[in-house]
Amino acid sequence: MRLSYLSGKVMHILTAVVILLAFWQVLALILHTPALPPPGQSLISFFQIFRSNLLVHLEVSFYRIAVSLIIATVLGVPLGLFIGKNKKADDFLAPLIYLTYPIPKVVFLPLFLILMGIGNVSKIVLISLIVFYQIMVTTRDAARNLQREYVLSVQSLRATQLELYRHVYFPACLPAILTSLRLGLGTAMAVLFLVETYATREGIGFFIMDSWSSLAYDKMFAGIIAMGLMGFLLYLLLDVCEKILCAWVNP
Amino acid sequence: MGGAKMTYLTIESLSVNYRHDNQIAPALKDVRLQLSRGSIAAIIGPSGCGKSTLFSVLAGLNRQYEGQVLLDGKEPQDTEGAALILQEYGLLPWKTVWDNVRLGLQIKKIPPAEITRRVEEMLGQLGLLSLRKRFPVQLSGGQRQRVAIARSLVLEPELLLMDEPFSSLDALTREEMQDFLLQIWQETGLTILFITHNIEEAVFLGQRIFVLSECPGTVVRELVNPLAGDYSARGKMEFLAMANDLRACLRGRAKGCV
Ligand SMILES: Nc1ncnc2c1ncn2[C@@H]1O[C@H](COP(=O)(O)OP(=O)(O)OP(=O)(O)O)[C@@H](O)[C@H]1O
Ligand SMILES: [Mg+2]
Repeated sequence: MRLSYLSGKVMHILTAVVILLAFWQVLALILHTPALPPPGQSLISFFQIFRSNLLVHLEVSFYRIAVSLIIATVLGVPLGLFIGKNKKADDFLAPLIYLTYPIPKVVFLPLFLILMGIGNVSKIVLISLIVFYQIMVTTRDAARNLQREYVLSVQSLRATQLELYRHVYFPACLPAILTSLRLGLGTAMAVLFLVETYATREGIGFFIMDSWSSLAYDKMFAGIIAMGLMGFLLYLLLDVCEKILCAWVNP
Repeated sequence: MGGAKMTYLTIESLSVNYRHDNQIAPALKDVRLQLSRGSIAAIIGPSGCGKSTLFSVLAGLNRQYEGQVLLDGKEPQDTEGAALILQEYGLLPWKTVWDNVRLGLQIKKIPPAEITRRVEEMLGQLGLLSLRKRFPVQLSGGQRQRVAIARSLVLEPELLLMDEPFSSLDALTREEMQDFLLQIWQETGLTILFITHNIEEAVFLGQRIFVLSECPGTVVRELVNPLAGDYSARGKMEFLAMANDLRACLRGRAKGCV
């Protein structure tokens, strides 16, 4: 059972990879420009420079993404649950959220660079801030729409507020939280790329831009492959979490 | 012990008002009701007349009420004697059967070893042990209702409150579950109060049948039903007569059938 499930999953992934590579190959043939090297060449370059070059940048980028996602989750989930559960807090905080949510937070990058320096802190704070909103708002909506009946049934067992969060609100919102994390991961990768093109000499974003400006397109695409792989692995990780933690959704 | 006819539940001039956009919306008005220990009684009445509201008061969930409600002499919020099974059972979809049944004991801070023992015993008694690893969505309606009952009984309550317990079951499962509930009642000596929209169900199970009026609900009639709990009664003439009596009362409730 388990094994066939896994091998099926691997088959799906392989199929997707083959389709993607074929599409890329065709596009490269049609366009025939140095700005889009064929996949073969990019892959060779990827394997050539992976250890010597890419790995260092990947590690830095991975660190920034992972820490940002963790911070965003640790802050966003409890706050979202709290606001979603308490109508008074929601009435008070909702306008504040809706006013600040749509502001494109990347415009604060210069400010953060001045305030927190050009190291990892300013980058992580910016990514966390953006993902935090997505997670918090999704969690709040899920908590708000929770069926009252579940709350009542546990309340009738004389549960404390903390037990209500633990047994009802948190597990009930977990699928929504994981969905928001998936969305947040996409956003985080996009923002990561942006912040790594400013005032840093580390990270996969820097590597891609650096290759670009030196017209090393095969290296640039090796960097893009690396970035794609990192995102893919993180998505897989979230999928595994969902399989384990939300088994009840599709048992 | 001994006092089998002792009153367990006393409700005197109970009124509950909800608030809708600054308007007061009465849900229950001047409800009077008594239940003796170890009895089983039905509440029947039109939709929206406040039956679920009454249960939320009895379970200690709603404290915004006027009047007197005493369970064995104690106010609802001061006793853990009542166990409530909600209209749609209230099982948590993210917990397995085992974890659902365990939850109440966990909240009561019972030692883990004792929890395991009691849950296992309860699931065994209700024939649910083989389902213990399943999630509620993986159960049939009847099985879900059984789990909900197990979850309440494991707390060893004195009063079991069931809000339309069998309404979403098919006719056959429904009768099976009625028999099942009857059996539990006879074995445990629990006091049971249940809400139903089904006249036959009220007559088959309820020693007392309380008829509630339109909203705001109040008890307009209390029927004493000697046929309750008699398995053979289901097809009998008296059974049908009692059901007809109740039906007439429900139909004529607007004019009052006091
Ligand atoms: N939490 C609440 N806030 C405000 N009004 C409520 C609330 N719960 C119920 N009501 C109102 O109180 C009245 C009684 O509701 P209740 O749920 O007790 O009826 P019921 O007899 O259980 O109905 P049904 O047979 O349909 O389950 C209804 O008019 C309902 O709209
Ligand atoms: Mg109801």
